[in-house]
Amino acid sequence: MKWFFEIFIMECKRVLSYRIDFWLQFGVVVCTEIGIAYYLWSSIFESEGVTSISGMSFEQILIYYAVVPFIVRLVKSSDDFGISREIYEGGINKYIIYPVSYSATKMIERAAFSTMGILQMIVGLAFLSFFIPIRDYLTLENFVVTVAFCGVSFLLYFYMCFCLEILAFWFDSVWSLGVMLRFVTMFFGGGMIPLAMFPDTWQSVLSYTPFPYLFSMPMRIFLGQANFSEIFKGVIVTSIWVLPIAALSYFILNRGFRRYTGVGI
Amino acid sequence: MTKYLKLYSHFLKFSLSNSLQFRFDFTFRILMDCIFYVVNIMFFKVIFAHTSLLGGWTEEQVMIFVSAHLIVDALQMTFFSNGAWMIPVYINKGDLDYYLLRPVSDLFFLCLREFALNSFVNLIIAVVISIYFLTTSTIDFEWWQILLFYLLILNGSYIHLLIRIITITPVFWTHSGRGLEMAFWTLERFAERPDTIYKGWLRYSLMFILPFIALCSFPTRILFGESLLEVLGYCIGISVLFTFVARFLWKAGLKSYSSASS
Amino acid sequence: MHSSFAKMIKVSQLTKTYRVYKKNPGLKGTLQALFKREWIDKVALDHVNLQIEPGEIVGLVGANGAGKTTLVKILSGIIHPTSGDVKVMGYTPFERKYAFRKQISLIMGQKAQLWWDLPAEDCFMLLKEIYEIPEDVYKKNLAHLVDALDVSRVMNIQIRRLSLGERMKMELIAALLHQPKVVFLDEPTIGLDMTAQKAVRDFILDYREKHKPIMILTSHYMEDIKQLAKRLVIIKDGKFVYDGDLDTIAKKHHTHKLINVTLGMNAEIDPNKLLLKHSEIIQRDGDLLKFKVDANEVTAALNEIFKTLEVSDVKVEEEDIADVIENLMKRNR
Repeated sequence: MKWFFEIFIMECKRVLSYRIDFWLQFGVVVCTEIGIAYYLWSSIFESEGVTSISGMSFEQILIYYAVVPFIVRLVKSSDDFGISREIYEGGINKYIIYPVSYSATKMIERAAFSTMGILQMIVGLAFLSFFIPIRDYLTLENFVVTVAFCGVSFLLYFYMCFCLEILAFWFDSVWSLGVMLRFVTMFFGGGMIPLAMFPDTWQSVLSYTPFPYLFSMPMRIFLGQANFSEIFKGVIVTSIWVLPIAALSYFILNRGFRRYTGVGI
Repeated sequence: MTKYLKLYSHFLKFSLSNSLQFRFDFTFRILMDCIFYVVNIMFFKVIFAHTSLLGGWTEEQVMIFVSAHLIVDALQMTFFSNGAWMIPVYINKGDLDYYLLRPVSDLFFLCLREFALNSFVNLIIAVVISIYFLTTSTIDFEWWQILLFYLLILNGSYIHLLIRIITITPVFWTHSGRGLEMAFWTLERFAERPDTIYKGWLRYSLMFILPFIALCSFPTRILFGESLLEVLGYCIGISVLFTFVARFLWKAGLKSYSSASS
Repeated sequence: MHSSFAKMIKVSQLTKTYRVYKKNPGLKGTLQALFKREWIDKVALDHVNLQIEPGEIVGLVGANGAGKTTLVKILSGIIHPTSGDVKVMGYTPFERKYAFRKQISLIMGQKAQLWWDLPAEDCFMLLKEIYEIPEDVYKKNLAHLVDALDVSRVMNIQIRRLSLGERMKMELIAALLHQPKVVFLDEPTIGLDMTAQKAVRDFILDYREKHKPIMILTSHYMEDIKQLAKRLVIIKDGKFVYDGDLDTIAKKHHTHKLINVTLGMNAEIDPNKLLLKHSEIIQRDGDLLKFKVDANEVTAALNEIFKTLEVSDVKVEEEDIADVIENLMKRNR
C-alpha cells in the first residue's frame, strides 16, 4: 500500500511546484464566472422585478457562480487528457511491467490534484467572502459535508472520463470526446446554471442520470439546500452509478491492454 | 497580393489532404462543436424560462445573437485557431527563426497555415442555424442589414484573432507557457452574452480594452434598427485600432526575441 | 565591381551580449524572481571583425557556446547585435528587408525548416511561392538538386518519415532552391552517419564550384571544415583567435608527424611494454603500428624505433589537418 501514498505525495508536490500563472489562471476563471453571472442575473432580476428565481435569491445565485468553479475543480480534477496522451506516446508501457494497477495510479494522481484544490478553495473562498456574503449561507458543517460529497462525485467523474480516455487504444485522437464530456457534464451537471432553474420535465429526466450528482448536488449541500436524507440518498445513488461505469472502464481497459500488447510495442 | 493568394491556396490544399487522414477524429470534432452549439442554445432557453427580456432583447433577438456567436467561433476555428495555437510553442522553442528569414509576412504564415476542414463543416451548420433564426423571426430585416450582419461577423472573428495575438505576445518576454492566452480563452466568455447586460466600467473595458462585445454582440445590433453609423464605426474602428496594437506588440516581441536569443 | 560591394560581408566591432536571469525552481523561486532577479550578462561575441569576399567559403569553429551560432544568426538577421556594424550585401541584416531575405539562406542541422506533416515536394512548392521563383527556374533548379542529391524516390513521402540523412538532403534543397547569394550552414552534418556526411559534403563542394555563393560553415566535425573551407576562423569565448588560410595554419601548426611502422615477420614484441623516449603509439592494427612524434624529433624517433623493433617497412606522414585544428582549439581553451 505504500506506493499508494508515494504517488499521492509526489503528485501533491508537483501541483505545488506549478508556476504562479497556473494559480492566477484559476483566479481569472472565478472572476469571469462571477462577473458574467452578476451582470446577467442582475439584468434578469431587474427586468422581471422579482426577488427570487426558482427559490434562489440574487445573492444565492451569485454565491452559486462564485463557488461552482471550485466544486468543478474538485470533482473534475485535472482532466487534461493525460491518460490518452500516455497511451499515444507509450508512457503506458511501464504499467504493463509495474506491479500496480493503472487505473488506481491515475486515480490517486487526480485525487492528489483535487486535494490541492481543497486548499485552493479555502483560500479562494476566504478571499471572496470579503466581497460576496458567502458566510451568511455557509456553515463549517456544510463545507465539510460538501467536500466529502465531492469525493464521491470525483469517483463518478473519474470513471466517466477514464472510459473515454482509454478509447485512445482504438482511436487516433479522443480529446474531442473529452471536450464533449466537459460540455455535457457542465450543462447537465449544474456547472452553467443551477439545475433548479431547468424546466420541471428536464429536471425529472435528469434525476435518472448521473449528471446532477456531479456539481449540482455538492452545490446544494454547500448552500444548505439539501437535508440529511437527501444527502444520504445522494451518496447511495452516486455510488450505484459509479459501480457500472467503473466496471465498464475495467472492461475497456482490459481489452485495450490486450490489443495494445498484442500489436507489439 | 497574388503571392499571398497563391500561398493560401497551398495551405488549403495541404490542410484538406491532411485533415481526412484521421476520420474518427474528424467526425468527433464536428460532433463536439455541435454539442457546443446545442448547449449554448439550451442555456438561453433555460434563461428565457425565467424572463421575457435579457438586456432589453427578446428571446428571438438573443437566438440570432447566439447564432452570430457560433459563427464567429466556427470562423476562428476554421481559419486561425490551429495555426495560432502553435505560436507560443514556436516562440518558446526558438522555432520562429525560419519564419524570420522568409521574404513573406510571418503572421500571415503562422495564423493561416492550418485550415480546419472539420470546423468548416461546423461553420456551415452555424450559418444554417443563423439563417433558421433569421427567417423564423417576426422582425423584418432589410437585405442590407443582413449583409452587414454577416460582414461584421467576419470582422468580429478577425478581432478575435487580434486580441488572441495580443495576449500571446507576453510569451516573448516571459519565455514560458502561453502568456495570457489562457486568460484570453476564459475572458472570451464575456462575448457569449449580449453586451446590453454589461454596465459601467466593465462595459467600457469590454468595448475598448478587451473588445469582446465587438465580436458578435455589436454585429447583431445592426439588425435591430440601432444607429447604423455608431455600430459600423465602432466595429470597424476597433478592428483598425487593434490591428495597429497587435502589429506593434508583435514587432516589439520579435525585437525582444531577436535580442534575447543567442 | 564597385569598391563598396567588394566585400560581400563586412562586420566591424560586432558585439553581442545578452542577459539571462537565474531562477530557482518551484513556486518559491518564481516568487523570488518576481521581486528580485539576478541578472547575468553573457558575452556571446566580443568586438569581432570579419570581411568576406564573394565566392569565399569560411569555416567557423569553436567550442560549444563560443559564439558560432550567434554570429551566423546575426549575419542572417535573426538576432539584433548589441553594438557594432554589420553589412551583408550592403543590407543591414536585422532590418530584415524582403529583398535581403530573398538572397540568403540558412541551414541549421538541429532545427528543421521544412514542415513535418508535408511531403518534400509540397514543401518545395510552398517555398517556390514564398520566394516567388519563376516556374521554369524552379523546375530547372529542383530537377538539378534532386538529381545531385539522389532523392527523387522519396519526394512524395512526409518529411517526418524520412531518415535523418534524407531529411538533411531535403533541407539543403529547400535552402538552395532560390539560388541564394549567401548560404549559412550551421552544423549541416550533425547526427548523420559517415555515408550521409560524405554525400552532403560532396554535394556542397559541387554546388559551390558551380554557383560560387558565399558560404559560412560551422561544424563540430573537423572533416567538414577540412574538406569544405578554404579559410578558417576560430572563435573562443566570443573572440576570433585565428582568422586565416586553412593551409597556412596547417603548415604553421604542424607540430607533430606520424610514423607508420610495419613490423617484420618474426617480431614478437609486446608494443604495450615498449618504452620509447621520442614517440608514442597512438594506434595498433596487427603488424601495423602508428606513432606520433614531435616534428623536430623525427630522426631521433626513427633511430629509436629501428633499434628496438624489427621493422619491415616505415612511412612518415603529416598529421591530419583536422587533428591540427582540434589541437589548436584545445590549446586556446
